[in-house]
Amino acid sequence: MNARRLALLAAPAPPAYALHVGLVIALALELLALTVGFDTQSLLRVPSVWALLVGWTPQILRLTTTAALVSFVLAGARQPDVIRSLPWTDASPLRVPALGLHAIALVLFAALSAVVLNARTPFLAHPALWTLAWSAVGVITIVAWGLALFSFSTWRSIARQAQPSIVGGVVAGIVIWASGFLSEALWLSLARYTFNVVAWTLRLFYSGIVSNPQTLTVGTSRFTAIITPQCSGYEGIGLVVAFLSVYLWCFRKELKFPGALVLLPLAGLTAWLVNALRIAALIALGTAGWKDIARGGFHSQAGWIAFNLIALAFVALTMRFRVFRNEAAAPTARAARDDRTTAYLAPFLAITATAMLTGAVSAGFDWLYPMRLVAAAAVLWTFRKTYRTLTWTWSWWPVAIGCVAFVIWLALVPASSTTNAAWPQALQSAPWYWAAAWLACRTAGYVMAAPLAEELAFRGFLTRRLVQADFDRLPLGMFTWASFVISSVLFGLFHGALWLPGTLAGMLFALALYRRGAFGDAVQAHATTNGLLALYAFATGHWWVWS
Amino acid sequence: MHERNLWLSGLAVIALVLSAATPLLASNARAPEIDGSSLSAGLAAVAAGVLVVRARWGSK
Repeated sequence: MNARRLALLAAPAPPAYALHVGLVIALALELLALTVGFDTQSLLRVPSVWALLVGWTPQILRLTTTAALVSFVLAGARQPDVIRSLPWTDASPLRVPALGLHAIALVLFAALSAVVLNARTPFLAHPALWTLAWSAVGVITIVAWGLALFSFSTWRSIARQAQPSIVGGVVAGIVIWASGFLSEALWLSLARYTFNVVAWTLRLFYSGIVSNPQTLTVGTSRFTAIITPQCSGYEGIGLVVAFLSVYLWCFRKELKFPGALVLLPLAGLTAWLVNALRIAALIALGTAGWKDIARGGFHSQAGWIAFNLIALAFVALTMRFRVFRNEAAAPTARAARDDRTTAYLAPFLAITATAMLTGAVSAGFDWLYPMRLVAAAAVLWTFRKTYRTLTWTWSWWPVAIGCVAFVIWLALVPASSTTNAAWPQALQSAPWYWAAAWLACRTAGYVMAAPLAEELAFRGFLTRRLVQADFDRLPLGMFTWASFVISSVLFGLFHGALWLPGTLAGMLFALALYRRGAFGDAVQAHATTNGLLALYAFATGHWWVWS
Repeated sequence: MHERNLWLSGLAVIALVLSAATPLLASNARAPEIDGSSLSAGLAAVAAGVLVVRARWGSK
C-alpha cells in the first residue's frame, strides 16, 4: 500500500457541520422536487378563496427563500461570530425523531399536494378542510426539519443574536419579491420599447417591414415575430444585473466604489439593447429562409450567448479600467498560476462555448458537433506542455470505477427521457458517410474530449481551487470533504436534469483521482463510463443514456 | 475555519444555482429569452469564463 493510498485512508473525518450542510441541501432538493413535480395552475380555474390562498404558496415560498438567503449572507458577512458560535458539534437531542417526523410529514405533504394542487374532487368538495390539513402538514415538515438542524433553544438564540441580519434579510427579501411584481407590471411597457427598437433596426436593412403596435408584431413580409413580455428583455436584464451584483460583492475589495456601481445600470441597458438586436437577427435569419434555425437553436441559445458575452465584457471592464479598479488591493504577479488556470479551464470552456454557438445555428439536430471536437483539440494542443506534467499511467482500478459509474448512470437515468430522440431520424435522412462521420466525431468527443475537458475543470482545477486560490501549489488528489462534495454536486448540476447520476459519477471520478493522485485515473474512469454508455446506446438504440 | 467558509460558500453557490433553476426550468413561456434547459451550460460557461478572464487579465 503506497503513501497516497494511506493518505486517502487517513482522510480527515467529515467536519461537524457537514450534517447541517447536508440537511440544508436535502431541504433545497425536496423543495425543488415539489416545485417541479406540482403546479398550481389547475387552481386558477377553481372559484374558491381557499384555492386562491393555496395558489399563493409559491409566492410565499419565494419570499421566504429570498429572505432566508439574504439573512444568511448578511449574518455571514456582518455577524460571523453568531455563525461561528453555533453548536456545530452538539447534536440536537431531537435530531433523530425530528428527522423521522420530517420524512413522514414530507411523504404526507406530497400526497396531500397531489390532491390539493391538482384540484382533485376531494379538494373541490371540502376546500377549507384540505387547505388547512395541507398547510398544517407543510408547517410540521418545515418545523421538524428545523429541529433536526438545531434545537429549539438554539433557534431562539439565533433569533435573538442575529436579529439585525434577520430584519435586514426580511426587508431585502420583501423588496426583491415586490420588485418581481413591479417588473411584471413593466413587462408590457418594456415590450413596447423593445418592439420600437427592433422595428427601427429592421428598417435599416429592409424596406416595407411589417409592424403592428397593437399586437407587437414586427418583421418582414417573409418572417414576423411577436414581442411577448417574455421576449421583452427583462430576463436578460435580471440575469446580467444579478450576476454583476454577485461579482461586485465577491470582489468588492478589488473595486472602487461607488464608481463600480455605475456598471449595474449600464449592464442592464446593454442586455436590453442586445436582446432587441437578438430579435432583429432572428427575424433576419427567418427572412433569409432559415426559419427552423430562427425558431429553434437561435431562439434558445442566443440569449445565453448574449448573457455570457455581456457578463464577461463587464468583468473585463472592471479588470482593465482604473476608474473601477482599486489598484492598492488588486492582485498582482500571478502570471504562473494564471496560465495553469487557463490550461485547466480552457478545454471545458471551448467545448461549452462551441456547443452554444453551434446550437444557435442548428434547427434541432446539431450537425456541427464536430466543431466542438476541433475546438477542444486546438485548446488541448495549445496547453499540451502543462498536461505533460500530469500523471498518465494505466491502471485497472479507474476502469472498474468507470464501470460502477456506468451501472449507476443506467439505473438512474429515466427511460422516458426524450434526450437525443431526434438522432435516428436525422441520421437516417443524411447520406450514410455523413451519418457515419458525425457518429464517429460524436463518439470521439464523448469518450475522449469530454472526459479530458471535464476532468481538467472539475477534478484537476475545482477540487483544489475550492481549497485555496493558489490551487497549483496543492498536489493533485488532495482530499477535503468540502471540495469533494461541492465539486461533485456542481458536476452533477452541470448535467441539468441528470444531476443525481451526475453527482454520483463525479464522486466516483474524484475517488479514482484520490486513490493515488494520478490525474489520468480520473480521465480513465470517466472515459470508461462514457465509452460503455456509447456502446450501450449503439447496441440498444437507447440514445437517451448518451448525455 | 477555512473549511467552514468553504462549506458556506459552496452551499451558497449551489443554492443560487438551484434558486435560479426553479423559476427558469418551470417557465411556461413558449419562446423565452433565456432558455431554462440550457441553464447549466450557460452558468458553467460564464463561471469558467470569469475565472479565465480574471486569471489572464488580473496580473496586469
